[in-house]
Amino acid sequence: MMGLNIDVIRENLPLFLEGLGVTMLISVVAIPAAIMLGAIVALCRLSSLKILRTGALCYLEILRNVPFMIQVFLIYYLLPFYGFRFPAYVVGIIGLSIYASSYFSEIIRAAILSLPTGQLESARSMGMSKLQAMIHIVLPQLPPYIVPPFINQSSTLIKDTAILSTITVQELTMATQRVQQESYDFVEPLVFAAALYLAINTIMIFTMSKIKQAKST
Amino acid sequence: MLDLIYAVQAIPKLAVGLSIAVGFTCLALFLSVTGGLILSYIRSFNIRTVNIIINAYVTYIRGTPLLVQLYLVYYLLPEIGFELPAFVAGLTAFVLNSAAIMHEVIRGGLSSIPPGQQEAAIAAGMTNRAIWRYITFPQALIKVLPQIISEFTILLKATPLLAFISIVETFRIAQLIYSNNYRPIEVLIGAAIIFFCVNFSVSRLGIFMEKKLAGRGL
Repeated sequence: MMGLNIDVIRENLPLFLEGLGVTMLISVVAIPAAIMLGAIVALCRLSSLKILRTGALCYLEILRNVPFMIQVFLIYYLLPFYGFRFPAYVVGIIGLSIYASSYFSEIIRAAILSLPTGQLESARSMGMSKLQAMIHIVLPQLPPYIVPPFINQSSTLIKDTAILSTITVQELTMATQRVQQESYDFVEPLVFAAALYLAINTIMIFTMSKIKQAKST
Repeated sequence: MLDLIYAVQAIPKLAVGLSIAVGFTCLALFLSVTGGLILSYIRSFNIRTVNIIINAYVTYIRGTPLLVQLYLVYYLLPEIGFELPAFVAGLTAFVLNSAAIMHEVIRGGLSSIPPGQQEAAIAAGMTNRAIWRYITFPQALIKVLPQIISEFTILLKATPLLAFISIVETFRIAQLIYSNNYRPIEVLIGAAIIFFCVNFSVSRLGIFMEKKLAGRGL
């Protein structure tokens, strides 16, 4: 086995960093977007209107049972079909946010359901509207239940950005492939990319766990 | 206009691709459950260096995208002297990925068995191997069955990635069809429909089993 050739990585470092930047940018936009969309879907699932409940359930089942790559390619072709021309990375952010919202919404729903129902009922009997009860009673209690699974899901989302390379988003995996094609070195760029992904995920999980500790003390 | 007749026309061909993907997934799942069991068994000896290696492996798998792992295996195998077909590279990457996850799942299942049972078995004079074979292992396997089924759907949903190391499966076939008829949206909807049918049924089966097992008090 040949030794690892570090020069390829040193020469192409700007390309890797650019890709890393795009990966981070996509994640930073898509994670909050997916959480907000997920919150809306979770509220629909808990709504008393049957149409909203069924609609939300269909949305979830479709997103969770169809491969993410097929969803991304569908959106990639569908948007221009209806006259929306966006750069690939915007398509990627849209696809990723929609896909991940299905997972975030289940986390939020489970957290809301885990609160004692008596709380909501007493808030309602005090004359709060359902929305007020959600905002003033339920929402402040959610963080301890949702933060750990959110960290996990966000780390999954960051890993899923790699799939966006298949619709020509210039993120880390795509940058790696460019380096491979230019240098004819196939293994080293991939090892370096894997290390970068590992670093992002580790840093994120570490900082989030620090936040969690700070909050619980 | 969207013409869903193209989706219907594409489905038989796509179904062939999906059956390849399902076969691939079954094989990968079987191997990775076996791998996960072996890892859990090795880990139960509590050898420090071995545990550190297993931990590092699990961290690598959980911290990097499957697509990168797939490319890495695909390019690394020939470099270290294994000229294998893409299928084997794909299978290796999937099994390496899933075995790490299965290992954690099985470990969770094992640790949920009350230690009193093991102590009782020791007191009854059973050997370590017999305890593993007759007490802990069968119970843990039943406990993690729903999670194994959900891993099936996760792996099946990842099979379109195999198209990028030139394996012919559902997504590759979809691409071939729409490069001919220029109807990517309809063909992809067809692919989405058949994936949905298979995954939805399998995940319902998982939920059903979970309820059944819960009813048995396991």
